[in-house]
Amino acid sequence: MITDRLLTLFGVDPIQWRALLRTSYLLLRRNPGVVKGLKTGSTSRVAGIVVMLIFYLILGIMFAFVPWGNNDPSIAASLVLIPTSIFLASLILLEFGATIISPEDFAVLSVQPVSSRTYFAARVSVIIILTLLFAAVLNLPSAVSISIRRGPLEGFVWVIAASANALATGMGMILLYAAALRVIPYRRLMTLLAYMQMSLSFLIYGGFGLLSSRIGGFMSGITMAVPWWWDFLPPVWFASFTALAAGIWTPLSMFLALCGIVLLAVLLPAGASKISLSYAESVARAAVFESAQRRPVRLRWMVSLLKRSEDRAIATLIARQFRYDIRFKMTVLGIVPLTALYVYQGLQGGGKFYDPFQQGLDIRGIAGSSLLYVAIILFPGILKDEIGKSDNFQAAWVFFTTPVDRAALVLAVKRVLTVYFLIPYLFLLGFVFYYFFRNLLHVLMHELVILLASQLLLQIAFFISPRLPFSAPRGLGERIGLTTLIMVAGPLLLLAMLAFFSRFFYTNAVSYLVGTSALGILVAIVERLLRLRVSRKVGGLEFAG
Amino acid sequence: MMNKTTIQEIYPTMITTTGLTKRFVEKDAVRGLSFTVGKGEIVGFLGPNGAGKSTTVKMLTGMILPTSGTATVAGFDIIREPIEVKKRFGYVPESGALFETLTGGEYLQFIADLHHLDRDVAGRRADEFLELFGILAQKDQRLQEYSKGMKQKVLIAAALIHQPEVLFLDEPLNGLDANSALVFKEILKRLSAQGSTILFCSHILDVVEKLCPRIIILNEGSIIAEGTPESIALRTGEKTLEEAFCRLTGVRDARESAKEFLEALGR
Repeated sequence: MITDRLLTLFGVDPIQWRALLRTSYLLLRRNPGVVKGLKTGSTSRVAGIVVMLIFYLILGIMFAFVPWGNNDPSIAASLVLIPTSIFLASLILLEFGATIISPEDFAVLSVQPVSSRTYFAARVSVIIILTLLFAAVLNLPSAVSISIRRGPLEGFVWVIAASANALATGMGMILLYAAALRVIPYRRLMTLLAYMQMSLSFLIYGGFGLLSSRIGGFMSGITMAVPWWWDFLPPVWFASFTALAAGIWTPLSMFLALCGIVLLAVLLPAGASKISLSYAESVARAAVFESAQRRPVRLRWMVSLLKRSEDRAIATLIARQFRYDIRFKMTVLGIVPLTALYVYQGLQGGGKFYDPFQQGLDIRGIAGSSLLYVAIILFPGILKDEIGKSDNFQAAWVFFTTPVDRAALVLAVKRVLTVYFLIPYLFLLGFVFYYFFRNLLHVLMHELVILLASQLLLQIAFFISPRLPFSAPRGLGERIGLTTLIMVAGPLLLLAMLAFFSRFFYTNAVSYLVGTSALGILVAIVERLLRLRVSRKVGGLEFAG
Repeated sequence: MMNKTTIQEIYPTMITTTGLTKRFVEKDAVRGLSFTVGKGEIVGFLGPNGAGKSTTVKMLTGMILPTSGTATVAGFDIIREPIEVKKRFGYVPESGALFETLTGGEYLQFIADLHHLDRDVAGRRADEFLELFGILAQKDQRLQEYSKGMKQKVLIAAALIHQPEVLFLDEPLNGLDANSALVFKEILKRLSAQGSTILFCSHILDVVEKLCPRIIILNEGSIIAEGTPESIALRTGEKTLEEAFCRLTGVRDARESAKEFLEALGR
């Protein structure tokens, strides 16, 4: 076989390569995804990768409208390929990071006669296949749109540009991981990787925020004035392939296309020397050393804020998991950039923050600044879900064999989130409000309403899906659905809630007292109902290990 | 009593370590370990928790690198020729990592592929092992659905499927039911008779005593005794290997310790 000869030529064992590839495929296909039902003991699951592919296909269909409505092929392609790169990078970062850095690989493979080269070839093949697969669902609808609008040649070149862009993104991410692994001592590696993921997430979400404002104008038919840094973006280089296919042979488009080709020519062989089994070894060692050699931080002061023993136990567990469970840490830190972006956009959008007690109903003001409030549900909402999952989920046997009130444990998670995340955030928000309102009483009154509203939202989140902490295995693509739900439904719900309060309760002191008391009573009632619901749900839970 | 020279005369050496040392950040897990194991020998590797048994095996299997010292397995250097070494041994880890979403059959086929075994031969051998351990019916179930003992059986089958010259066994009987443990011990005896070399790490002194003609006892990373169970007992002036082990590793009288423990509990 030609493939075998080619692989052998590069020092790769073709039999082992195929075995590793086949196993990666099986592991990926069987990675559990979104749980379908909420019924106790439900085992009905959809493969995570299928959910993700459907989600990205919908995005891809939306992207297909960009080249359809515009005559500048290069900019249209750029506006699709830039977000594609962003999505692919974030996929590798958040969902398929373990495909690049998997300590489990080392545990199983280190005692097998697999060479570094063979291991590398299999890893890179998996990343390339995944990247091309997701690039296909994101970009093929656009290719179809182009083919219909401008002819099959341009559609074909679009496919080439999209593939090249996907390959460059995949290899670029591999190199980024590899470079970090090369320069950082392995004991510090995993912690640093978590922070690297957070920094990259900042870049990705920030870039996406910047881009989304421009796409709007372009789609409205306005000629887009590209900023000075536009041509430095690699997806723009690949996008210029489409300009050439459309007959736009300007020196700039030729130069940019050449840059794209050179980039691929550099990235592909550069990646070839970076991933090896010894690389997996450093990852595995890092995982071992992280847990074995770091001195635990005292938690007494932190835990002392909580009264109930369940709350203290859960706070300790979450803090320790954050410190030693690198995947949990990466997930938590991965939420920070998105939250920060919302806070930033909320502050930008609100302009001069309105004092709801003075200006009454100002729907534009509320809409502009509502993103600031989204952080209140975004962070605890996603975190609540993440706390339910762990690679160490089998350790949850302890919840089933000790005389603990399991419902109290679930509710303890809510209280811990309130004490350690919501209240500190509201405290910070208080400074922002005071800066704009200049009225401490108004700030405190407004904060009380937000605290109650956020409590209600958190109660709803727990009501929908009560889970024991760290008791379920992680699944692929689970976060996509939840994050999308929170990002879409969250602002709408908050907007409605704030508008309602501004209209009816912030008008005078009596209305405020009545409204806040009603909200407080509602929170208390829901808390009761929540306790009943959680008791009923977790009472029938079975150990998942 | 069998001395070292006699062993080397009888058995060509399959495992050799010279001054093998592993230093972690603050302490030496293994300190200047030197020993040999001959072809067809079953050597028991004993020691209390944290003595360095698993660290030694991890170095010999290439999972971790020695800080200093050298070692060869089946005549190949573990640092310079790791792939050649790995082709020649099978390893049953203490707590085995498995790709748990694979089925038992798929996992064995995967390991067989990594060893370039013909797929038909591998399939036949996998079935034989699974049948021997009584889990052939569960061959197509995912490993995550297996019990601890069933997973251990798969790990044992995976270690044997390529018919290795050397076996590193780290607490291999963990979780095995009595019947399977008996079968496995019998397999080890036969493999040894056919020339396979076995390094058997365990805490279960009875098993080691019955299975291993030679024993190496480690404590705090160093060898503190080596020889047949009888010779070790004789040297320490004790009647049994268990008593000799306790004396060598500094454990006080077990009955006295238990009494003190229960007193501390207020019973």
